[in-house]
This record gives sequence, structure tokens and C-alpha cells, in this order.
Amino acid sequence: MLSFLARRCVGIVSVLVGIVIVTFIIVQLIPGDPARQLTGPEAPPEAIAQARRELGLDRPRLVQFGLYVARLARGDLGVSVLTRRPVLADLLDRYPATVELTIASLVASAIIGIPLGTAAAVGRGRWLDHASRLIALFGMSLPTFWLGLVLQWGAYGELGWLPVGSRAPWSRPGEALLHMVLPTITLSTVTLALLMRITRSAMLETLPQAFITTARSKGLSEWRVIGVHALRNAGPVIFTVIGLRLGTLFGGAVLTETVFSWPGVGLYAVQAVESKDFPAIMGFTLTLALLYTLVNLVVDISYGWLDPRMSQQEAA
Amino acid sequence: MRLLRRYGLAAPAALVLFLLLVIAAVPSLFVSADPFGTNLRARLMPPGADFLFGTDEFGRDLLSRVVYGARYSLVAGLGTVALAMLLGGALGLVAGLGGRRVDAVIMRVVDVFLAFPYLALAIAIGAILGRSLENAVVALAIAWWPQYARLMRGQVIAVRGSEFVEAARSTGASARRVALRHVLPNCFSPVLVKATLDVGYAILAVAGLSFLGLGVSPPTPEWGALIGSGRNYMLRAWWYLFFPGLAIFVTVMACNLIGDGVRDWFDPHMERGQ
Repeated sequence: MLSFLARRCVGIVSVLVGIVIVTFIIVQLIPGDPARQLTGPEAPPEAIAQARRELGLDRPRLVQFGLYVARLARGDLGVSVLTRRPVLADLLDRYPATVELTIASLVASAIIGIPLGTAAAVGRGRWLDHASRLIALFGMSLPTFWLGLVLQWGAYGELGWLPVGSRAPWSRPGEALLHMVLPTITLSTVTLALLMRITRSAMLETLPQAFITTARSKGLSEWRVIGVHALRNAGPVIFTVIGLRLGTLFGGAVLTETVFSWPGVGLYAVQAVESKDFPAIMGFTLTLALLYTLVNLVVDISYGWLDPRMSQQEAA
Repeated sequence: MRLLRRYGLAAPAALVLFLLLVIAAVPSLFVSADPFGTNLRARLMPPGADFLFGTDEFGRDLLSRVVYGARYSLVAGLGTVALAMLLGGALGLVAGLGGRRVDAVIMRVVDVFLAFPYLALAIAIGAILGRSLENAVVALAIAWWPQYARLMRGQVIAVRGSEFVEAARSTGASARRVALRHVLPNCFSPVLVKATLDVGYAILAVAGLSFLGLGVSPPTPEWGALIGSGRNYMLRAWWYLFFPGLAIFVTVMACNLIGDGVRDWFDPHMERGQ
């Protein structure tokens, strides 16, 4: 188990170094002179030259890379052109909204997707199974941003049931929850479809196994057999998919946040794209990659812990 | 009916996709109205006899715009997958055959790229390259190729030790000939299956980037961009964003069904519908 952990952590370090290198290369490709952007278009040449020196732009590339790493290590992601604030501070303000929406959609997908997938596997070939395939197909084929807009039009514009978007403070919990309904549905479709399919195939593999027959022959109720014994066996696979989706959802939230004016990092990035605010865009991409890597590491480790067979296989 | 039983929904889906390809190739066969022709007296008209899908804020016929838009979405979706497959496939082949050091370097790079959520990476690259459909395709392909590299390398490693490759080597075939004539053809089908399954995703991703303003420039009637501009009139003119989205949905669903069909066809062991 320990060597498994150690190897994973070493692998992560090389990936983290790679992420920093890739973002550095992308930053190099940004059109325009960062010194000029910092000083403004009408700055005298001396001021621009000084800014270049301060940013280290007159040094060799390798030294620039060292400076870049040093800045990152201090948590310095640069200053946003749009908000004139440190990018890290901006991102820290906005991550809670993104995390909140992501977790809500993951929970919603799990609550609906896992039972539906289980029911589809149990009643294989019957109408519920077919219906679940149809739902999955729809979920994978819908453009989520379009779904979000159509939901807004229907639930807000035509029916007036739900607020159109943006986030409400948690000091008014009822309102905050209402504001979350539509964005959560929108962000959940793909994850729900995926979870349902994975649960179904994991359960199809589990149900014919001997220990299920044993559990039945002990006289346990069907609910217990399926809900406890079988589902626990399928658990690690489902858990992995949930974990991996968490990272993808952070990225996918960009579209949902834009549609609903949800004040998370995705909306921040889109606004940054519109105003060519490159420090903000790079800060978004970099922090998201770090977060994604971290989540994957945690999923990996807990997978070994949830399913002891895995880490034993690794060790062997 | 026999086709339906044999290939499931993939058969009608293929028909739909074929129709979409024809529409993309010769849109003028299907609509007569000019997709760029403005008519200020017919602004934001609801769907009706004159305008089946309604009109936009400049009085342009939306049916015509959606029909002409098919080519952008289809070409961009196919282009993204083709580019990612070529780049990733080539690097995967090199990694699998190129010895331990080359393999280690390429796979490190793959791991790093996979560490980025692909949409986040595509947004950063797209923002730097600037607004155009070609750039959106390139940005997505750069974010996407590692998946193909990994798959291709796995296949190559499975095939490279087999007897027919040994036989080709022992007859004195060059490394290049072994790679292209003997290894590659035997690795290609899983990669191709993945590519078919990915076309739908790619169309969605391109439309998404375009919706965010990283695709075509107005007045090009690409579907994602149409939804983006229709959003401004959402509460007054639902049809503006509804029909382009429906077009994306139908196209992607057809691609997904065909992808499932192709996968089942290549892999008969796989249980239907799993």
C-alpha cells in the first residue's frame, strides 16, 4: 500500500512540473508585449523598458522560466487586466461558487443515476432498461448550454417558476436553493447519463456472481441483496467515475456558468477571453489543471483503499 | 426492417447523417432564401408559413441559416477528430515502436496534457490563437490528441511482439515499412472506433467554443454561434436559439448512434447496448 502511494505521488510531481512547463509555453505564445500591456499604450519607452526588466523579459528564456516558477510558488498568478486585482484573489473569490455547483450536480446525478442504472440492470431488457438507454443517449447528445437556455426560457420566461440564474447568498437558503435548480440540472445531464451506464454495466457483471446467489439463499430480501451486497461490490467502479467526473465538471462548468451568469471561475474565464485578459485565462487554466490532478490523485488512492484487490495487484 | 434488427438504430442514424452531409455539401438544394439576406421589415418573426424557423434580429431566414450552418459544424467536428487522431496516432505509434526512452518522453507529455480538463486547455489556446473556426478546431485537437496517443501506443505494444511482425523484420523490412505496413493496419480499428464515437463530442465541443465567442465571426451561421446570438433575444424569440440547438442535438445523436453501431460491429464480444 505504501509503495503504491509513493509511486503515485512521484508520478504526480512529474505531471505538476509538466503542467507548469506547458502553461509557461502557452504564456510565451500570447500575442503582444506583456510589458506594454502593463504600462498602457501611451507609456514612454523608458517605462516600458523598466517594466520589461521588472518582469524579467530581457533575460534568457530559461531564467524567465525560473522566475515564472518562483512567482507561481509565491502564489503570484499576475494581475488581471480586467479587474486590476491579483488573479489568485479573483479566483479564490470565485472557486466556491464553481465547487458548490459542481458538487450539487454530482450529488444530483448520483441520486438519480445510480438507482436508475441499478434498476435497468435488474430489469434487463425490459422497458425501464430501454428507457434508461434513451435517457443516456439524450444526455450524451444534448448541447448542455442550449439545454440551459431552453430551461431558462421555459421555467423562467414562460412559467415564471424559477429564477433565471446567478447565485443567491446562503443567508437566504430557500432562495439560494431555487437559484441552483436550473444550473444543477444543466450541468448534470452528461454525468447522469454516464453514471447510469456505468452502474448498469457494473451491476450486470456483479449480479450473476456466486456471492449474490449465496445472499439470496440466506433468505435476505431482494432489496438487501441488490441495494447492499451487489451495489457495494460495484461501488469502486462507480466511485471512480464520480471522482473522474468531478475534474471534468470543473472544466465543463464554463458553459453552464456562462448561461446562468453563475459567478464561478468559468464565467470569470469567459469574461477574460472576451477582454483578452491573458493573466486571468492562464490563472484559470493552471489552477483548474492543478485541482484536476489533485482530485485524480485522491480518487486513485481511495480506489486502492476501497478495493484492496487493486493495490495488491499493483504490488504484485 | 431487417436492417433495423441487424444494426439497431445505427441504420436510421446513418441515413440521417448522410442527409446532413448532403445538406452540408449543397445547402441550396434545400432552401431558397439567402442565409445572409437581411429584411428589416421581418425582424424576429415567429415560425410560420413564410419562415418555417422564424427570422433573426436582422430579418434573416433562420431555416436557411440553420441549413447553411450544417457545413461548419460537421466539418469542424470531423476536422477536430481527424486532427487529434492523426497527431495522437502518429505519436502513439512512435512511442510504441521507438524504444524505451522515446516512449517515456512521449508518454510523459501525454500525461501532462491529460492533466488539463480539455475545455479549459482549449479555451486558453483558442484565446491565444484568436477567434476563428479553424483555431477552435486546432485548440480542441491539441487538447484531445493525448487520448489517441495512449490508445494507439497500447495497441502497438500488444501487436509489436507478434509473430507476423517478427517475420516481417526477419525478411529485412525497414523499420518504417514494419511500422506502416505491418503494425499500423493491425492497430487501427480501436482507434477508428474511438474516432467515430468522438465525432459527436467534437461537434458539441466546437459548438460550445463557438457559443463562448471562440469560433466563427458574425454573420457566419454556425450553430453554436447562432445559439449565442439568439440568447440575447431568448425571452422574445424562443425560435432563434431553439432550432440551431435542435440541429446540433439531432446531428450529435446520429453520430453517437453510429458510433455505438461501429463499436458493436468491430467488437462482437461486446454485449449489445452496454
